[in-house]
Amino acid sequence: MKTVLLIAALAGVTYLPRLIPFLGRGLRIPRRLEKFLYAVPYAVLGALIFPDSLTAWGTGPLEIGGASAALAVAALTAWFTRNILLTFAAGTALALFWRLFFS
Amino acid sequence: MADPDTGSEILDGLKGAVPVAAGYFCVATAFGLLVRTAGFSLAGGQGFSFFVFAGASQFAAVSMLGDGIPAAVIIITVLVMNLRHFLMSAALAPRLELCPRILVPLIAFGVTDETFAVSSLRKGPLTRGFLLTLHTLSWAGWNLGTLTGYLAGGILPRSLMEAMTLGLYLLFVALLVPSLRNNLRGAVLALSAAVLHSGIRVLFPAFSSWGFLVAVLAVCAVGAFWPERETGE
Repeated sequence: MKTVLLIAALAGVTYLPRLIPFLGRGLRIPRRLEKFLYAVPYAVLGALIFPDSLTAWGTGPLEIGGASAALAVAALTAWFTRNILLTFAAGTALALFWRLFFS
Repeated sequence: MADPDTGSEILDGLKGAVPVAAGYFCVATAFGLLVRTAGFSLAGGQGFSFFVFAGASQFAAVSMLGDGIPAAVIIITVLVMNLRHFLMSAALAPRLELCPRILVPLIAFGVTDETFAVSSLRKGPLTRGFLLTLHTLSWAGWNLGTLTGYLAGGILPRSLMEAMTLGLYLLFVALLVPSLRNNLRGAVLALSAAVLHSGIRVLFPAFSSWGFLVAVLAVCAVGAFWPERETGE
């Protein structure tokens, strides 16, 4: 039940910003707000990735090292290929090898 | 000006949707796996993709739930994460003159980063044939992927599943890094948020569940004052 309520709430807060601009008559967005909103995806992704990704497997040096290595490989792949699937595969491949090698 | 032919509009919607749906299928498979490892029921996990339909925020929400973060924080975080769709809808709204008003709420549901990218690149007015096809197929790809990922979770080897706990973050990297090429502004914003969040986490562990929100809002507030002449990157 709690899950249902949470999903309903998340659906609501996600849907409303998508809908509201269509309801008004030619909404004008202040420049300041536009710049604020521009920053959101970058800030969000930056804060999402760090620091939690580093401790995703645990707090030991081997775990943090493995996570960092996988992230680094993913970042390089993403930079040069701009391909989500390849990035995910590359990072996962390294993660898999690391775990098989060190655990 | 005559109304564009609905048949060709639907075809264009289809063409635009194929890469989006394919990409969504793959990413959503990871989401399906994630909710399964997190202990959600099939209905619960699918419910996320069905009703929320917002990539990164779905991952973030599930991840935060796993960390025991209070629902209020999760809800506000998802709201902030998806606020940019407001800008996207605002950009599209003037082009929907040919759409019956009654279909607009349905169309609005499907506004995401990727569908917006396709719609914004299209020339001319946006018709219901195009938009509904684009949005529906993209949504279907996302949901099919979620289902597939969830079901696959039952047959994948343990070491692969464990390696994929990192997958969530790899996905975020996959989303963020390409957008930073030739984008100093984005890079500074992302890096600042990363450093700030990490700093809060280390210095104020008691407030760790709010750290994310504080870091994001602080960086965005400062980002609202980015110098004008640099905004045209």
